Amino acid sequence: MSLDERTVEVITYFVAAACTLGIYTVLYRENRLFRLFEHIFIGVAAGYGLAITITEVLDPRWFKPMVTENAALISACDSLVGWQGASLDERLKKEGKASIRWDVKGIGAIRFSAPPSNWSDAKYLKLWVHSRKPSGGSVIVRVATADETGKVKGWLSNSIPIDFAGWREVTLYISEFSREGEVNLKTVRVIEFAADDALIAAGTVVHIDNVRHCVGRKWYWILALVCGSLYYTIFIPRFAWMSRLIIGAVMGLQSGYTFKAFVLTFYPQIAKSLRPIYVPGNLSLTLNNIIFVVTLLCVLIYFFFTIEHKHPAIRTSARIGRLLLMVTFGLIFGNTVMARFSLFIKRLDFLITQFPWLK
Amino acid sequence: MSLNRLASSTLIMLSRFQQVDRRIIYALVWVLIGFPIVAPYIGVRLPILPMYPTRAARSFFEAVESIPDDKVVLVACDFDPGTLGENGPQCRAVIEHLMRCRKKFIIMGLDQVGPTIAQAYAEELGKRYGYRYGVDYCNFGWITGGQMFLERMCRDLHAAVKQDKMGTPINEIAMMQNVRSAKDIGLVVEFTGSGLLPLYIATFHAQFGVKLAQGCTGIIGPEQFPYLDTGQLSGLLVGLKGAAEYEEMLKTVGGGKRTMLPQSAGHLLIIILVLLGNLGTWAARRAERGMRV
Repeated sequence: MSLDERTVEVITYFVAAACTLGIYTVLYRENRLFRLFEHIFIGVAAGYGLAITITEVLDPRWFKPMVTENAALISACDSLVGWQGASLDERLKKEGKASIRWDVKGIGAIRFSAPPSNWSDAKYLKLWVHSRKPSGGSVIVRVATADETGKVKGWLSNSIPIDFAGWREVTLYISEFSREGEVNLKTVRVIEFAADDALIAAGTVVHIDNVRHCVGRKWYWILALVCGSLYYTIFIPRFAWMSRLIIGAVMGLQSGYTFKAFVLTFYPQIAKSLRPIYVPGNLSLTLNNIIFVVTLLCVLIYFFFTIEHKHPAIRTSARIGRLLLMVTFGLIFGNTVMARFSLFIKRLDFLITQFPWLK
Repeated sequence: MSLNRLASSTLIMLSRFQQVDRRIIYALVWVLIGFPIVAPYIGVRLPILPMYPTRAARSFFEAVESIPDDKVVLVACDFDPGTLGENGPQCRAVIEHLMRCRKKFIIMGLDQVGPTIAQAYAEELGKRYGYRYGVDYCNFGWITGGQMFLERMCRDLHAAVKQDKMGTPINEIAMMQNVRSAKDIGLVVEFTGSGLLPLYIATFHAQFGVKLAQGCTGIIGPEQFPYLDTGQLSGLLVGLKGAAEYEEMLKTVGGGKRTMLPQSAGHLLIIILVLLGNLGTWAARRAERGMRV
C-alpha cells in the first residue's frame, strides 16, 4: 500500500506534534510520557548519528576509497557534448545509453574537449574500446595539458593496440605515457584519439565508452581501522597500554592545532586591547576606549587572587570589576531568555501554522 | 486594623510573588506567545513590529552585497534542530539574500543535520529564484575533521572534498570547476549555537584572509562581539532578532520578523516577573525584619 503525499504530511505532523507535546508535559510535572519521548529522542538521535556517520563519512571517505578504483568520469559517452569528429551509437554500447562511434577511415582523429581538468591524483586511465575486427594498427591516446594561463603546453601520449574484436577494457597507466613539453596534470584540456596508418588502412570502426581516470584502490586505508581499533584495547587489561599510543598521538596532534588556533584567534584580540585612551578630535571613541580600558583593568584585577584585596585601590577596582561582571552576566541571562523563547516559539509556530487543516 | 498590621499583611501578600507556582508562569508563557501566532487564524490582525537593524547586522548585509561575482560563498551550517528556532530563520534569510544577489554558494557543516536543513531552504527558495543544484549551489554535507579539514580545504578544496552530499564527484559539479581553494571563496557565513567560530578564524580568516560573518544563538551572542570589534568577523546576527533585522533589510517577512511579536510579549512577561520577584524578595525581607513600610 502506498500513501499519497498529503497523508504522509498529516502523519508526519501528528508524530512531530505528539513528540513536542509529549516533551512539554514535563512543564506540568515529571511523568512517564515525558520519559517515553525523551528516550525516543535519544534513540532517534543516536540512530541518525550512526547512520549518517556510515553513509556520509565511513562509506564514501574510507571504505569506498579502500575497495574501489576511485574512478572519476571523463566522459560517459552517452552524448556528443564535448566530442568532435565522432558520432553517437545507441545500439552498440558497453555501459549507459550509448557509445562514441568513430569511423577511422573517414576521420583520422577525434577529440574530447571537456574533460575534468584536475588529474593530479590519477594513476591510470580506463576506457572501453570496441573494434569490429582485429588489425595491426593502434589508437594513439593524446592528452593535452595547459599552463596557468590556459595555453596548451604539454602532451601525454600512449597507444592502444587494436588486435582484438569486440569490447575490451583498456587500462593505460599515466606513468607509462610518453611526455612532451611542460605537462601539468592539474589543467588537462583535451583528450585526442588518433588512428595510426595501419589502423586507417584496416578501415575499422572503433567504439569508445565510459572513459575515466582512476586513483586505484587505497589499500593502506586499512591502517586507519588498525589505529582506530587501538582505542578499544582499553577494555583488555593486558593490551590496554596500546590505547595510550593512539590517544597520545591524537592528543599531540590536537594540542598542536589548538595552540595554533589560539595564537591565530586570540592574539589579534590582545593586540586590539591596547588602545589609546585619548583620541584627539573624537570624543565618542575616547569615551569608548576609556570604558573599555577601565573595564578590562578592573576585571583583570578582580581575578588577581594572589594579591589580597586590602589596599583601597585594589579593593575598589576589584569591586568595580565584580559589578561590571554582574552586568555582563545580566546581559548573558537576557540573551539566554531570548534564545529559549525563540526555541519555544519555533515549536509553537510549528504546532499552529503547520496544522494540516489550517495550512 | 492598625496601619502596622495593614502594612505587614501587604508585605506578606507581596512576598508570595517569590513562590508563584512555575506552572502558572508556564501557562502565561504559552498564552502570551501562542496568542500572536494563533491570532491570524481567528481573524485578529496584529501588527508586525518594526525592526531597526543594528550595525553588526548591517555589516553582515553589506559583506554579502560586496562579494565579488567570480567568488563563491561558503555557508557553514553548524547547527542542529536544537537551535533551529534561531539559526534556521537566519540561515534562510541569508540564503535568500545570496539568491537575490545571484551569488553562488556551497553548503556544508561541522554538524550532522545543519547541511540537510540548509538544503531544504535552498531547494524551497531556489524554485522562486531559479537556482539550480550543481550550477548555482551545492552541498558538501557533514564534514568531519574540524580545523585540520578546514585547513586542507583552504589549500586545495578538491583534494579535501571528493564528493558532495549526494555522492556526485566534485569534479563533475559545474560550479566547482573554478573553485579550487580559499582564494575562490569571497565570504564564509557560519550559523551555529556552539563555539566553532575560532576554527574558521584560525583557518579561513587568519591564514587566507577570507571574510567571515556569523549568525549565532542568543546565548553565545555576547561572546562573539569581541570578534566583531577586532575585524575578525565582518558581520554578526544574534538570535531570532538578528534574523528579523536581516529580513528587515531584505524587505521581506519570514520566520524572524513574524515571530518578533510573540518574542517581545515573552520578554515583557519576563521583565514583569523579574520585577514582581524582586518586589517579593524585598517584601519578604521587610516582613522578616518587622519594619514598617
